[in-house]
Amino acid sequence: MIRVEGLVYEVGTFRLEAGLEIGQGEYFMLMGPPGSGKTALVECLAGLRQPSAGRIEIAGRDVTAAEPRDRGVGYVPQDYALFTTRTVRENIAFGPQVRGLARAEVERTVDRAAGLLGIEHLLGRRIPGLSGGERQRVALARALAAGPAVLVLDEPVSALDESTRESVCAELRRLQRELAVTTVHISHNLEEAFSVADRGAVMCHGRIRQVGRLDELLRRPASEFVARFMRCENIFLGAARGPGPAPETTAVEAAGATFLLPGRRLGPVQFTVRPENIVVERPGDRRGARPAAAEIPVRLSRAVDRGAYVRLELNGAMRLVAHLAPRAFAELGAAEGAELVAVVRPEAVHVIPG
Amino acid sequence: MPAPPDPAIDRPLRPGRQTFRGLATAAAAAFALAVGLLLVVDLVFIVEFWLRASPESVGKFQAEVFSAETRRELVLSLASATLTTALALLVATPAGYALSRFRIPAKVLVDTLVDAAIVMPPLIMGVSLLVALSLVRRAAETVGTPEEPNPLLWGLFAGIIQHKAGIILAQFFVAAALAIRSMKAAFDAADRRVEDVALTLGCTRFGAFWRAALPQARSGLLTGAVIAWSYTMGLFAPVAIVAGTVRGKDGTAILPTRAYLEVTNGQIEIALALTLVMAAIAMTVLVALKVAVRRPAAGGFGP
Repeated sequence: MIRVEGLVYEVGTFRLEAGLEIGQGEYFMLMGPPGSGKTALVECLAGLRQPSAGRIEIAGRDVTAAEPRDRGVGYVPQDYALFTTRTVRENIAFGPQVRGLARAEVERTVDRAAGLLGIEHLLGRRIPGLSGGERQRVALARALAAGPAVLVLDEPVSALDESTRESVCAELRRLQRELAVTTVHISHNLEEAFSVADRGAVMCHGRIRQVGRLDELLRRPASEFVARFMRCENIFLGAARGPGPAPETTAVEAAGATFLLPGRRLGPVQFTVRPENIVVERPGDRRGARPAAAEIPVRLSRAVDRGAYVRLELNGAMRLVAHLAPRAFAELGAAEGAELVAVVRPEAVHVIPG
Repeated sequence: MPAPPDPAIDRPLRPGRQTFRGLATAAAAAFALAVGLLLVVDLVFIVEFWLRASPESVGKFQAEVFSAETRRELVLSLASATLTTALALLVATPAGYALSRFRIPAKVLVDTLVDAAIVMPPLIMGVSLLVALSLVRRAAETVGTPEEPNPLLWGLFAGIIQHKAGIILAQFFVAAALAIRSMKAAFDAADRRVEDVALTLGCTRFGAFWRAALPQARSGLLTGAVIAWSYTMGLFAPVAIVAGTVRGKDGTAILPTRAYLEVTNGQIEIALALTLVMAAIAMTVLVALKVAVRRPAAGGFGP
């Protein structure tokens, strides 16, 4: 559906280089820290910036040199950029009117888009009196009313409060499935990304660092940067010490602890351990024999309840961060300063390639 | 009709802020009062003249102030200021947009030259235009002969100097410069992503300017119009130099040049009376314009 090949866009000292493929009807999440080039990339897709090299294809058509109006891209910028001198109805009708639809058809399109977003009651209102969530829905309805082949959303929920954000994300997902419109969504919020998208890419300094399913980006980061961006705090650089006790494993020493990593490895090895895949136990509590990549004696230095999980900061030979379900943490019954054992499951360990 | 309550203005303030609000409001009120007092002083001067002058002098005063010629000059003042403002906005709107949005070679120079038109003393502006027109005349005589000058260039010279077109030319430069300033500020403050969205929704570049950028700059457009119109209504030095102060049916005198003539003739009471008439009409127009601006926009410009 969308194919970006060898795209180069330069402005000042910033250089964007990107290649990307997004399938028909896919909900694609573009992630990365501020200044990584996410907005520049989607603005190239929308035709608002002209790349100096490369090719952009949308629905099998080369649109690299096409005007924004001829690309079939609906664009919702970060602050929604609504027409503040117009009513909600006039905002939504803008696209169909500009494209010369008959009055009755414009009205039908507006009513259909407003119905999809549940904003029929706002149609007569002016923009300045609307809440953030209402503005967001109006911006979406305006983009959808133009019948785009691709919907580009630049941080569409970043200005909303937590509860509104969740409901809007659910609505975005529902709408996207209902309309099957290919959607590119920019965000740097992982919860938001996982709540709506199938696949995504992580960008940094104008380059796409990794593309894949979101769970792959989370559990199999291709670089230290992607691992850190996906909030993996346990990233270690170790040295291979020789074959492990199990076949096809290597003993790797990192920060005073020994890990058994899968495969035969030599020299320095960088690997991550997802915090939610660390089991924390009291010493001597081990229930039955289970394979472990490492068992590390630690002291609980801090426990922060984050609602869905409890974040434990563990210090021993190395600093580890573990996420426990609140119930598991309550059963553990550990206070700050408690002596514990961090059991790293083999599947929790991911070796960063290269 | 009272303005509807504005939550940003009518909200209750803490005591410290009330003090500041009082001081700030006092500054605005003091300045407005000073201007109002000037007008009252003029009025008192005229009334005092009316009471002490001889019946002949009062009769002459009445005849001068309420003459058909004065009415003609007033109409010419209003018409020329309005036409100049329209022309100024016609140039200032795209110029302000270009200065705000586009990379222009030597943009700082262009920007500074716009300011130069405002900084230049009005008298010098008139003299500069006169010099430029004399060059046009010389060019007409060089291209043709002194007896038979080039008709196009001579027409340009003769159609402006001592003609009504000269009024517009003399007023235009500063009016346009003021309007460009206002429009540029308005476009600077407008969100350019609104234009980006308009482009993706089907607009051409011009369509995005017309339908998305211009409605956002609506207040700047009206502010520019008010400033340009007010300024040109009172301008006399360059008008007097370029268009002259010819009175009569096809004359080029406008109320400010006429007031200037009356002052130089020692008829201060007539000059003040004419100024008050002009001020009253100008204030009425400006109040009407400001009330119109305060109304919510009815959907901007198109589609």
